[in-house]
Amino acid sequence: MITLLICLLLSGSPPELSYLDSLFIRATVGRIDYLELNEPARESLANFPEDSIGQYLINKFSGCSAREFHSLVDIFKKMDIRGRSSLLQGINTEDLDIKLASIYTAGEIKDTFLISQCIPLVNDSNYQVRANIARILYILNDSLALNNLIELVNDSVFTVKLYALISLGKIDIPLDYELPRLIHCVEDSNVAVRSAMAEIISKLNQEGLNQIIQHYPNLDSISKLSVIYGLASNPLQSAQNFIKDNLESFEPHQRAAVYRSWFNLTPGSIDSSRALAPSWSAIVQQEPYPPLKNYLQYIIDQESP
Amino acid sequence: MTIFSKLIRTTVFSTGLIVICILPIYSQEMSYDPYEHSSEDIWRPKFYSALGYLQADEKDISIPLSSSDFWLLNSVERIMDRPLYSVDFMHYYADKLNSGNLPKIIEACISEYNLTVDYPLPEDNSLPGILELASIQLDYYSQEYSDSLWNYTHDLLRHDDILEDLDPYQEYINSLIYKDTVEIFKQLITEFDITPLFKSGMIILSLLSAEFPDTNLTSCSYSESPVLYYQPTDYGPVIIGSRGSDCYHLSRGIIIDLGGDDCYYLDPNIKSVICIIDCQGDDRYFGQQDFAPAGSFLGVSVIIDSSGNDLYQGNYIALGSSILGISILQDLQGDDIYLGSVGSCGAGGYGLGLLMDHCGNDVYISQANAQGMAGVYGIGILWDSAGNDQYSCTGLYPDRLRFSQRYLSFGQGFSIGFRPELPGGLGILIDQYGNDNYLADVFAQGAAYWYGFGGIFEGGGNDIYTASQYTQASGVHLAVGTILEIDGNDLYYSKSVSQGCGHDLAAGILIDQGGNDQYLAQDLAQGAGNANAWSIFIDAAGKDCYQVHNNSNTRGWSDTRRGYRGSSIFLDLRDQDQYIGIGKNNTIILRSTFGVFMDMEDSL
Repeated sequence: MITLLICLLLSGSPPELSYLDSLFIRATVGRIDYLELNEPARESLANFPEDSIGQYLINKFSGCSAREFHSLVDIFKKMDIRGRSSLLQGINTEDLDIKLASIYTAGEIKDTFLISQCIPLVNDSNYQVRANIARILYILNDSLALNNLIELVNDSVFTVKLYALISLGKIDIPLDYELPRLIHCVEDSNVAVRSAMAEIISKLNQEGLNQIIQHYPNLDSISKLSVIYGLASNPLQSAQNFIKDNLESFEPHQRAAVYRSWFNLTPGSIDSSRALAPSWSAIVQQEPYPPLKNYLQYIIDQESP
Repeated sequence: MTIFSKLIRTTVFSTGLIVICILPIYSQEMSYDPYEHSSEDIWRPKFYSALGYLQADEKDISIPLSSSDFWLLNSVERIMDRPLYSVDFMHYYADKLNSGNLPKIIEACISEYNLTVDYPLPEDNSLPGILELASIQLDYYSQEYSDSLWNYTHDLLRHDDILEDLDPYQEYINSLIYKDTVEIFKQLITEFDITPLFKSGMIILSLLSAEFPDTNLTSCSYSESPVLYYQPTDYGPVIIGSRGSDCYHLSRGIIIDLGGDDCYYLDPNIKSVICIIDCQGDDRYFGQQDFAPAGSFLGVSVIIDSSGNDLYQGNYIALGSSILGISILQDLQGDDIYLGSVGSCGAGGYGLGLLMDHCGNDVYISQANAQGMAGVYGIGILWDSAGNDQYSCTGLYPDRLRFSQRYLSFGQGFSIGFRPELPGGLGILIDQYGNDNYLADVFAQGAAYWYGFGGIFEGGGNDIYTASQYTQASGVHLAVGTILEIDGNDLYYSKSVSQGCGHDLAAGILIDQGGNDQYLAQDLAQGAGNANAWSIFIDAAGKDCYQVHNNSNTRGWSDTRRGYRGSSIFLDLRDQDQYIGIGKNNTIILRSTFGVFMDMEDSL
């Protein structure tokens, strides 16, 4: 029935608003007894020509519920590049709901054209706009995005800083030479920021590792923990050597972070210059703290076929 | 003869007041059952030390306040900033309530609104003078403003009732109307000043020390039998009833009844003051319409019943519940039954709903939004000092979004805001002593949704908690839910998002300080959560039994959402426990990078 209506609509005049409303309601209804209506209705809306549906969908972002929001994003994902001009209008609109949703959706469909159109907004006075852009800039994967992200890492608002750091962690450009502008994040008062920085440390090359190891003695204990996690997760030999050399002096919770990181390292990710993957049986013998011995035994059990 | 009669009546009234004043102190002493490990020190330093396994310290436990442009109640803001403060907060309110000092309790609530309320006292300290002065305070709210508030609030209140049979299109149209209603309601609420209500409430409580008038047997239209004193005023009658079994019909005014098994039929007006003090007897209180007994809208309603096995039956917003009002129901003795519907047994929406029961094995039955429940800017408190109590809050609103056979409870230490327009408040249920049974369904038992706090403080006894999803110490979407269990061999049974679970920038904290407890859940429970939340489970002592259905997302599990971490901790601090599913004694397991299971047989 829906397909028949689509054919009729595609072949003739623009769809009536009441019909679009009806489809939209089906696409977003949350009651469990009507959930099967969601997917076909979203497909139907996504298959309309953009000039007849785009503005309608964009306007729905204003004041929408969380369920409607995710339904709309899903419809735009299905439209792919056909939703581009509507989203571009959304990015440049004054309505904050629509602007934020359009930026978010541009990231969800990974449209580099739309994301590049967001760059002029990195200095927007609204921090949510800046945060949303920080969240998606990594997709561009170029030096322009990198420079903007590093600027955003120094934003006064924690959300912007955090998303910029997460984005930097995903960008496929070495950050070693940018580290002096980022390293303060390891001492941030927010745990999520410190953890995101640890992720970046886990991907540093030799130059960056040298800087981090040199900086390590100056850190307080909670900041050291993030560095330990980052270094233990970094497969390069110098990082692993630092961890192994200091393991005995670490507190139990620091050693736990190391074991967890080693557990996550896959054999394929370990640097070829590294002699051996962790030998769990040897580590168990050296571990003095019974609860951690049990943890190591748990890890061994997990690794066993 | 007349002097002798007055002396007897004054003595009876005074005895009632003495009971009102003394019993809280008695029940406080009686209700404490100090547990050898009840000091917070048993878990707090070890918990802080354990946070190292999450690469965090105590300062990191915080819920970010987003860009929302609304203000928050004082303690909500503080708890959002430091969720563990919810433990201190509940201790603070438990102490206040244990004192039984109603003016002090109300003062504590006033401070939540950042207000200082100076109120006048009547010059002659007479009962009519007190009623008049308390009622005059409500003239602050104009008729037009009151009518608007009433219309839009009533629409919102009944909104869920009409959803059941709607198809999606009708429901959508309804939701658009609902959104408009909320928008206008939000505007009205923004202008709302609660100060006159608190003034009125404090003034009416001053009648506990009022001068007792001369009495003469007389008849009045509000009572089916003769009364000892009757004085009509512009704000309702002032009545002193006899020691016989009387039957009253009242919508506003004051009744002081000296004894007998009485029956009250209450039909309150909006913008009114009603106060009933019943000194003795097995009494029955019936609400003829919504907002009774002990319910209010833009008004003040107080019932103090000092003894007897009483029955309270109300409809919407009753039994110590209010919307834009102050309602207090205090029952000092007896095995009582509280039958409510929506918004009952200590429920407050922009105002105070307080139900205090000092003694007896009580039964609380509500359908939804009840039993220590707070709506927008509300304070809802249910405090029960002693006795083996039964709490039930379920059975009206089917959960149409998740389960076909479950109901939305919204109660038992719960708070909810209007997402995204307005925040919630403080919903707390405090039960000091006794073997209690808590039954609820979805959204209940120390839980909160959208900028609010919901908590249960359980002082002792072997308690049973049964609920479904978003329950038992769970914070959902920028909110904090906490259960603090001091002692007893307790049983927790829930489905998911429960037992110390935070979901979406929220915090769920379950702390059980002692006893051999059993925890059963299906998934996302027992110190596990998702979407950048803090999920904290601490069992400080006892030989406990843990069971979960899903091993992959429980006991110290957290995920990464929006590109960054959530944090979860399961911490059992002492004794040999039994685990069905993941975990074993004297073991630390990092379940996910920022989630940890810890069972410690002695110390960290």
